[in-house]
Amino acid sequence: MNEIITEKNYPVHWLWVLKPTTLSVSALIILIIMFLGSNHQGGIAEIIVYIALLGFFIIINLILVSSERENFHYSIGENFLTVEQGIFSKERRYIPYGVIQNIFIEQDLFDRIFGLATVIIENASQGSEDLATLQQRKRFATIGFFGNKVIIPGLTKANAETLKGIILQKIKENPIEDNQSGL
Amino acid sequence: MQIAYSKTREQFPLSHKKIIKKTIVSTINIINLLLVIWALSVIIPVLIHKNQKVVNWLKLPPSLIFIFLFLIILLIYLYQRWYFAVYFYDLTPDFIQIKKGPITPREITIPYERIQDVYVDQDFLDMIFGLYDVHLSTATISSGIEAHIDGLEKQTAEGLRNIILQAIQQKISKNRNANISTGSNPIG
Repeated sequence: MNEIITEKNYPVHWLWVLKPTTLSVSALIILIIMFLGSNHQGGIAEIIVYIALLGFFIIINLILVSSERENFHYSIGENFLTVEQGIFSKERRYIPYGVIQNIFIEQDLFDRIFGLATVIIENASQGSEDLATLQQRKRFATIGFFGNKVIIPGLTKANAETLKGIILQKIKENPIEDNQSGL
Repeated sequence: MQIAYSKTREQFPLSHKKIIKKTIVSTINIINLLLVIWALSVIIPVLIHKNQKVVNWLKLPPSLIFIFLFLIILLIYLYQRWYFAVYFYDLTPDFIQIKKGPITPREITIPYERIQDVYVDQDFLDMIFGLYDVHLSTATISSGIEAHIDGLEKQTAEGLRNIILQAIQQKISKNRNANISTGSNPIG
């Protein structure tokens, strides 16, 4: 297998873009139901403001997440797993296969409903970030790399399994004892 | 229910006592939670309207409470049986694979060479039931959380531990020998 596999082969599904907004969208729906259910007395203006605000945030979120998705690239090259991310500040990370510690395949409720899966690849480094930034990003990161994780979300279940298989094969071909530092 | 058998699970099966143990643990947790919610829902209205009488809306007949409890336990038991059935672990020639969770599955794959330690432990209920957990961990935090096979009898736990340790040993020495014979190790 000499060709380089990238996100073009196993893309992040567009449906995934909706995932980070599921919570705010459900809040929006509840607000709209409240609005329709209210007997059009006082407080209507307030509810409309809330709906507008929430709608605005959802749109901003959708734009951010989809541009995150646009700017996320990975490629499984011969010796390194290369991951690129960043909308304004670009980052690129090279991970030698020999140092990959474990691979996760995860499906949460959203993923189960839409038949998607997330692949998470971990090595033992903390990346080049300081701990405070790391803590901050841990809470929000859903795509790309941070700390010791590389997250490839929104793959179809079958693609996730194939991708896992490819990376495991790479790990097997690059045992750590050949090359202690991995570089 | 169809059990997710692998070669490893056939050889080192999970104990069925695990279902009972987990049912007990989850029941205790859920009842605790319900008690807290109930207590808060009684206390908070009293705190807000100081003069109001305590409205004990949970004035249900004991028989109803028992039926409710029974239903909760039944649901938990069925879920635990499902969890037990889909619990998957397999030792392939190169990797260890553990997968659990019927609704939101999480699967971890670990190469033998990356395992940092293997340990066996028991919590309090495990001691009562005579169960053991086999934990593996690599250098990552999440593997410590995720990679364990719990609810094994003493003999199977020991067997599983030994076979994993053996596999790690073989893997490492095989790689080392390969390096010595080909001289491909740049460090020595």
